[in-house]
Amino acid sequence: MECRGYLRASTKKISIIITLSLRNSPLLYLHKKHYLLDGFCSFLYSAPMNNMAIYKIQSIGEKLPLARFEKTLNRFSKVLNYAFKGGVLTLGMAPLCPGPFRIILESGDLQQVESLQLTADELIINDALAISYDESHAWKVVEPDKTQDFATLKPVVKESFDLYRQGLSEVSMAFFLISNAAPLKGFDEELRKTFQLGLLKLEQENSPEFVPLFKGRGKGLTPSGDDFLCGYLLALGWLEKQGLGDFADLREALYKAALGTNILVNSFLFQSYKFWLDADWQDFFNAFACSDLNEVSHTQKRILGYGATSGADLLYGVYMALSKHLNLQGFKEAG
Amino acid sequence: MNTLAKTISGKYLDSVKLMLISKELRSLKGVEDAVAITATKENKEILAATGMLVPDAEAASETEIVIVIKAADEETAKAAMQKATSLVENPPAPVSGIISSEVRNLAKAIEILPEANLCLISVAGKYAAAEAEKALDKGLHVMLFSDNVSLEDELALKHKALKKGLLMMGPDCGTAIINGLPLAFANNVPTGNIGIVSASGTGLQDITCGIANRGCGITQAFGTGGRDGKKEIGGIMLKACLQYLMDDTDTEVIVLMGKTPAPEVLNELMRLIKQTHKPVIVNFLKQIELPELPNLQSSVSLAETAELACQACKKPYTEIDSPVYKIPTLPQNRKYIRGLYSGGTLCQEAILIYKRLFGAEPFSNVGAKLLAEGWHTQEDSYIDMGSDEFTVGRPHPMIDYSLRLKKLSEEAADKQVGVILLDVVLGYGAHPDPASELVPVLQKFPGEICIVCHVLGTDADPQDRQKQIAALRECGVYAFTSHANAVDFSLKTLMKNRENV
Repeated sequence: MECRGYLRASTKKISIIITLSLRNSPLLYLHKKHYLLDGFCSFLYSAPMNNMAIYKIQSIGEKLPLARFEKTLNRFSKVLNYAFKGGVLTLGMAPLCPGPFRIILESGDLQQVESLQLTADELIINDALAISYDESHAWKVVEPDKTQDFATLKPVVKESFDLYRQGLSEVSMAFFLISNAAPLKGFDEELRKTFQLGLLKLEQENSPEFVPLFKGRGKGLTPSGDDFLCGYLLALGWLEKQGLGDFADLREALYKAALGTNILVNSFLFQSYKFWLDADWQDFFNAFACSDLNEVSHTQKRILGYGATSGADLLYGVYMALSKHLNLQGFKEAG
Repeated sequence: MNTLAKTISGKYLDSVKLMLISKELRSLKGVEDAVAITATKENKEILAATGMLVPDAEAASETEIVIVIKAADEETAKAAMQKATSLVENPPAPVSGIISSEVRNLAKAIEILPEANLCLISVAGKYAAAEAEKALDKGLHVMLFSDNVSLEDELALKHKALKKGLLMMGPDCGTAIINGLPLAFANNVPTGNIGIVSASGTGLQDITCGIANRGCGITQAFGTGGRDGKKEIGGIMLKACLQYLMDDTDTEVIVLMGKTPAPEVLNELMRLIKQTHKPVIVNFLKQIELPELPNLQSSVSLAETAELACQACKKPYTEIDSPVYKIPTLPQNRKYIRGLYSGGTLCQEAILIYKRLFGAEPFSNVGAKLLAEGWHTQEDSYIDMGSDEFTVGRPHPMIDYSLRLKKLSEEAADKQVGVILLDVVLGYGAHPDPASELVPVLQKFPGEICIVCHVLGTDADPQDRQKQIAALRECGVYAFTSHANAVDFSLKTLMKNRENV
């Protein structure tokens, strides 16, 4: 018999080469890493296949282009950012909130993901796994709710700011600026001085001259100053949508002046300028619109959890814009 | 003061980690200041203003992260930077068993993994035969997961494999365990002395699990693809693998299973079996006439096949306990059963048992009494949701429960449905936690529906079989570890309801 004993020719260990088709192969769920080749993917294995993931889509942002995305800007355990012409696509795992430039997966293993391709009805991962999606998955930008009672808006903004101040991280920009922070030194002290100057300019003028004092400055992957500017733009957009002023020129000038730190920041600035909100921000502003302090506080907490200080810095930008343009007092004093 | 800077390239560090690094560095004795920042020109201005813009920091590009440490002396600065480096590095544990390098073709794959002796192929049908042939030409055993390969190609590939002394499992082979390694959809089964060759995927899984759950183990579990027993293929791999198991000194008992082979193939298989003294248990999924051979036993039940194999080992083994459930009483209007399967062979076995009991087949998408549309059940119906009509463009229902959950809800909403029978397949390749998908849906069902479930797997499977069973029972499911028992219970419930009517 020709095949006698052939399984034990050299070793008890089976080493496998796996060749997979580009699309819809259930085997893809089993494997960690794939290699693209012309028409096929090959896997090399010498271990049991016990790594599996099921990919399910929760939402796909409507502002994403139907295109292929392969250049990751950065990869984290729960988030991958892909650069594309005109912006950044964020692929994230729930509970990261949906957004116009985000694809949120209900389940999956981001560490396995290399390339993405978005077609009209499929998200294709690694040129191999096609996940169907439809209208029900689309995350759409909607107009914010209209403020129901302008009389209660101001007190709610003030109260929510007080809550914000209580929950600040001690490394956030706002903590430096408005709290009784310990004396700073070196880099932090210099940063504080610059931001203080920026706030002063912002208070005195209705022009983007304060922007250079924030742009590109601070810690984090998106520097604190840039986060602040994004928040400021968001708030101006919201005020305008509420009929509380015409900020079109200021927003445009501010946006243009703020561009340039890096592609990630530029993308966030663009989104803020366009007022294309992620779900958390939508909830946050809508909570203001109906003067629901509990809801504001709830969504604010979620936003404060962004990055190390990004959420806090963004919110600080929002509150500074609201305080200036709603003529509110008491936003810079120590809490 | 001494200032050192280091640019981080090729590492992904989130803001939180950058802050923590800064904080930790600042806490070091002798460190005056330390930051981990994006090297924007504005941040460089601040570094310059604080005397920290050393050439290395200045050279960093705007998209890079730079760590800058200002310390009392050079030694402290260097030690702090070393600490920073170790905080940044923190390399992830290497993933074992995967060779990370770019592979563009089979030749390159073999170059990188020269010890490879098996190629598992899952490509579109039209490319599958060519890929399999390449692999065989390179001296690799082949497991061809793909379907839609022509009979002519299958025959040619199997002839080639046989000539080279290689395995050619498939096409449409979804399960195998070779030298203890589960391939594709397979379970964690201990090694032992029972060898299996099967032309049925879920059948192979159910029998290997049945053997494992009785405390026995297997030598090899070969899959041949469902068409190997056809006249056109001539049972090439069934015979080759059977011969292998007959010759294999580790194999003491043989199980042969699959759809009933063509008469000429059956004759040849029987001729081979006659040549061995090893006990052989065959399961051809229906009762057929077989020659009377002293070493041959046959069964049409998957559970019994496993039981007979374990008995033939002539070693102590564990009896499988069947849970004793009281047959529920259903409202009289709930008079129909719906079987929603992910495993094709299990679905066929359920239909067979039904037919034996009621004398006629239920409606199904795989049996003789076909549903007009697979999706639309009527009266008593069994659906194999792993069949092509349900898997085009979506993962197999063993992996993705969404379609089955939808169907389950539909069936539960039908006030004429009293019993729903389903399988939950565990093991490598299957859903990592089926109960997490099923329980939230089943909990919403009215209490008057009887849900019966066969959990296929072993306690060593990654899903934790006992946990799965417990979770299902917790929400009122009648869970079984023997498919025959599950089907039996479901039909008894149905009969009780009909007797009451």
